Amino acid sequence: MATVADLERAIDTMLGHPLGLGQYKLAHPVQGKVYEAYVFTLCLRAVRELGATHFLTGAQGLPSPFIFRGGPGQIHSTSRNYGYVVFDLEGSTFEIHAGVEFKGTSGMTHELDVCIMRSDDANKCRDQPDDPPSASLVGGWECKFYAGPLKKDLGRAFVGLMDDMGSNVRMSGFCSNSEHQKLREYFRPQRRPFPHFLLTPLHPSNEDVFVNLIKGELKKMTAS
Amino acid sequence: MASHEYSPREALELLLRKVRERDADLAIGLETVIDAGKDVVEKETLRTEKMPWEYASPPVDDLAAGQGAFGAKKKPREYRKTVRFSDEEALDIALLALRAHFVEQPLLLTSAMSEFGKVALEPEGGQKVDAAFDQHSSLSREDRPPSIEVEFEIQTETQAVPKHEQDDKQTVSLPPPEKEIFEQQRENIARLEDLLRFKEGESWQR
Repeated sequence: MATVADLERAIDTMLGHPLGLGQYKLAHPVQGKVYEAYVFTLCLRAVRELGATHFLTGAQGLPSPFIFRGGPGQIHSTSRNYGYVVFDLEGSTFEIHAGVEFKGTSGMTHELDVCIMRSDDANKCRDQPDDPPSASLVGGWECKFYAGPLKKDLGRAFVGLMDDMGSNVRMSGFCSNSEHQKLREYFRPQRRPFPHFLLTPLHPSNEDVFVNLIKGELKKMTAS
Repeated sequence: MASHEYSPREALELLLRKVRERDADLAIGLETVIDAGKDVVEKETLRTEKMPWEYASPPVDDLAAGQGAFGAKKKPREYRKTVRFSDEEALDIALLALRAHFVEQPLLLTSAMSEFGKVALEPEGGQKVDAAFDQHSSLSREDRPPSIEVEFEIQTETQAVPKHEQDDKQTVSLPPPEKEIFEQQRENIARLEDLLRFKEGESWQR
């Protein structure tokens, strides 16, 4: 029979473990950013698996350390040396960013948690400080690390955001470690973001779907 | 049920109390996801009255079925409402949240850092991208740095922080956990899940 003492001991062991409350206190303020970093590196994996030449860089040179933005920011920001990835595929150059704001077709700015954009446009915006236009966007992903069930309004907001990014965007997705059955149905119509639910290392097949979708689309748009 | 000395309610209260004693923020987070409840669809029977002239007298069938005079018909209507989780469901939700913080989150870090370890930094010299790619393609594996440190900005750049109040430490570096430590915590949570499983054959795994 499981006793109260057993339960107390199990709870104490879990909370007192090095990956218990200590790690939680350290990571909690930035755990959403850690999830963005994870999705960012899945994009990186897609690029690597495609055999594209790629490297890490920063707005002010070598990204050492590689810094992820703590919130929405401008691509031309020099307040810190925020890191990004540059890659070349079949002669076309792209960049992978996290937390960068874009100018929507309506003129309103929107932050994309993780995105792939054309490098020429990014360079222009860094040279003459401005937010990149929606036409420079290749793919955008919303990342939600949730320690509970997802909320419906998050999906609605992202559909609205991507709608304002115009019709040239090649891929978009809503990534979360959690899931929501109704949101999955909401995302089903054509041109709506792909629901990348339960996207964590605990579900490698979901990671593969994410990576392969990017690989397929990049391959298609750079095919000669 | 007989295999537990405690009820699901007692287990939930103990879990929340233990967490609250050691980290109020985490306890509030758990309570918030539990208190959010769940959406359910319920059916309601509405009476739609027909006008008196539609029936000379109440149809016998309707009367037999318990419907009202003048052929009032019951029409089911579906509506959505939020209800509280049962104690077992609340335990499930609390464990999902704890697993997200204590297992998934460190695992995300490990995965991200592993991918960063496979990529090179921009060649030094600040060349244009084309030249950088030329130089980059000639880099050998040995030229790559052994590890790239990743930091996360704690504050947003849009947040106004007076210069004199700015802390030197505005980013945080999160070291990925060692595999052995990670597996220990995974086992700890699996053990807790076993102790909180009240129905035979029930699985906590998503």
